[in-house]
Amino acid sequence: MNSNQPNPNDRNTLSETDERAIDALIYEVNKLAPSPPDLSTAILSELARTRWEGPSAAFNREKDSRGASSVATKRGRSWFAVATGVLALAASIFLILSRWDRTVIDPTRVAENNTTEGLDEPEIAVDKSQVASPTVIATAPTGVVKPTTPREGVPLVRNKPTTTKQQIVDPVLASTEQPSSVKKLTSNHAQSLAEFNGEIESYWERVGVVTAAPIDDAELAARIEDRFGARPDLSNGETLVQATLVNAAACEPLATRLVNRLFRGVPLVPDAQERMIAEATAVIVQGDRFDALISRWVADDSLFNHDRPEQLSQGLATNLLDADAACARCHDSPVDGRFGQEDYWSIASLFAPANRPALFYEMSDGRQRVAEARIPRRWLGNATPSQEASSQEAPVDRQASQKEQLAKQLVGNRILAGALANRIWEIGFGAPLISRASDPIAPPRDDALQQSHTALTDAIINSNFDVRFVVRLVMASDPMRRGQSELYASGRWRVANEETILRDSLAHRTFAAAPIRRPRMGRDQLLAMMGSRIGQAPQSLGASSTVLAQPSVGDGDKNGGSKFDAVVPEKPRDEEFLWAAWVADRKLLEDSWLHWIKDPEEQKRHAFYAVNKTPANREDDFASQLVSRTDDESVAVQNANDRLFWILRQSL
Amino acid sequence: MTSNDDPANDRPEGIRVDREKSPEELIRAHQAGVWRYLRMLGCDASLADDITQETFLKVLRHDRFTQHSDTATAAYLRRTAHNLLVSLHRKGGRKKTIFTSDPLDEIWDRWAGKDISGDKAIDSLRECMQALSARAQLALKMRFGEESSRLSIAEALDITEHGARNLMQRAKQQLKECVQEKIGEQNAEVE
Repeated sequence: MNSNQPNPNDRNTLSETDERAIDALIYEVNKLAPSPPDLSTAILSELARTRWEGPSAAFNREKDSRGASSVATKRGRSWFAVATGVLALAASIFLILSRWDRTVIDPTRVAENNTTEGLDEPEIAVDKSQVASPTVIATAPTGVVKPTTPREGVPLVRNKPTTTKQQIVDPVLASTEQPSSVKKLTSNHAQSLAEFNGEIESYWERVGVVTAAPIDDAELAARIEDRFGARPDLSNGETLVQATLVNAAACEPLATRLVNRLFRGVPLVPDAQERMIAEATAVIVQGDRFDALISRWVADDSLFNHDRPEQLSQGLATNLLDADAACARCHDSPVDGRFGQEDYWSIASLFAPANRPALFYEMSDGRQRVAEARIPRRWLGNATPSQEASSQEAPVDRQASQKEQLAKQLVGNRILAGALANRIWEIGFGAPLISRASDPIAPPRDDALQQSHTALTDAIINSNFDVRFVVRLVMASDPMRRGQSELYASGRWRVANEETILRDSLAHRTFAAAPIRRPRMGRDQLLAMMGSRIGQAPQSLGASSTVLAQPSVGDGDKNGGSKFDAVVPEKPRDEEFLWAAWVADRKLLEDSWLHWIKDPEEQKRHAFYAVNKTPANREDDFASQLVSRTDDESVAVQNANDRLFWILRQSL
Repeated sequence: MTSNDDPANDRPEGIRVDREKSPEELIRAHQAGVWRYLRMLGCDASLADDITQETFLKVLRHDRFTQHSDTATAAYLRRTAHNLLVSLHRKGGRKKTIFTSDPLDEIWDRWAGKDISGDKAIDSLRECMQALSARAQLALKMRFGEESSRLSIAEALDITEHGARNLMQRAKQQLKECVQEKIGEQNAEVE
């Protein structure tokens, strides 16, 4: 037995029940948990309302109530169950008859099973029992929380092309064998590109962006080399995009960047990265399935350091499944109901060292629980059902069998395809197409953008996870071929209003050929600049430092700057861009989930955690100063918090 | 007492009670006990609020609900609350519930005895905490008053993380024995 595990035979050990009871009482004595509230008014008014509405309303409510178990309700449930059974039987017979003439299993059906219905609208109901404290999410409405408000105005999505998407016919999914290389069935570059560009244009239209003119081939070649590490070889007379990634040497930089992004934060053994890059290069050059390669990696224990299984599984889930794993480590995600704490630790348990008997985790109320090694199906988008491991299996066998199942389910998985689309887009543009909801400065959810991501994901699936095909598609896409926005190229942003900057910055820096690398500044510069925005003189900047410490937009008061007015002659272009980006971020943060947390200390803790940062004293002090000085006014608090998150993000 | 003074006249339709408290009196007398019982079962404060309200609504709407004594009513309310919580967890599809299958009222009897509100358990616990060693008090205060991590507690007390856990476990064990002794005395006085 693990030394951390209480021995139930020990008389001096508290039972779980007792411990829970005494914890609740101690919380109340220490005033951390509220005392029993007076609910009499609420209950009596509800009773009175029931009487007013009459018995039928009461009966209906009774049926809907959580604990309804009256005789009438039970009878109703029985009839409902019988009726459902009959309908299901009839539907099954109908389906069997309607497919009677098919002699073989249609593999497209298997592929369809891999699609995640409703993924675009993730369930965001909050499980109130798992919320750490009512003070943490004070403004979340009961039961349902809405992270962002879709913007009004332009139609959300451009009409989709009338051409029917080719169905995925994937022999790999229909067989139990691990695939290595299969013939691509659909790789229609022109169709995929047209579809993707159509969605992106729809997004630009949606946010009101007037795009810059296309760049010439020379500039495009340089841009491709900058982002993907390979210069197009035009000696064979091929088109510019087709002339890239033609051999192993050209593919290796791409493989390196892709592996780095796919295994960011994942503890690897010393030589694993080199092995993975070599394998990835070979797969990209040969046009093999990249999902099969990832599946083999996930099942290969020799690649990973298993000492911290939660870090390993969190990295894999975040990068390979785009999971909101950071929240789920401590509590169920309050913004995306798919990501629960139990699932987080289940997947961590899959990667725990085999000689470790049990993995414990602490729930938000302080109780401990043993993690059960199993596949978090919701994280995989309800992929092909796994074979349930038998409860008779030894834990180690069960763990191995579940991990093998997890690896198999990654092959052809739509969630993995979506994550791969994001990682490839990151290589091209520095940010994912769709950010995780817990990202503190994730752009607001946008249907048109979501459709663009779906189009790219479809391209990955339709090409049988051929990375080279998809990267070439990104290279040829409209955003990659657009020049600098006029607003930025001419410096007109400095006299533009905040709304224009916001609109253009948002589209430009992520999807319209913005500089791939965000400009970085020193920590002191950053803090000083933010200090100047809230009316404090910079603490650590000398006269020769950067303009970022100054209010730099027109007459500062009207445009959000302060009156602090030191003169610095040179304005590096990147820094101009940075200020514009800050304006955009400030707007984007208005609906951030972090604003739901009202306790400043708790908010600060979450903000640092969300950006994977351990606060240094300097940032921590500054953050406290920002939060505390505006404690009384909600709007001011919000603005201060915007700055705080931005600092955290930019100072990474 | 005139008929107008009878609190039963204010009760909603469908509630039949015999020489018992009015709904308002009933709620005021028992809500704290039900709420604390749910907290003991592992509910957080907001869930305890919800289920407490559901419990009273369910009981007060029930045609055959009869008050025999405060103790019986309290036990009935706790049973209803327990059932609602079980039902909620079943609906949530959870395989593991957050409470174990101890007999329904055992947990309450152990920690609150015959007190229907649980106030005495709180008072007893407060007294018992004063009897703990200074280090144990500090550890519990950090854990339950400031939500400090075990690591922080260990650093504050200059012990290992495992030591901090053991210290708190022993302190809780002492508190359990102390509170149950006091509750036993109070029960004996009542009898």
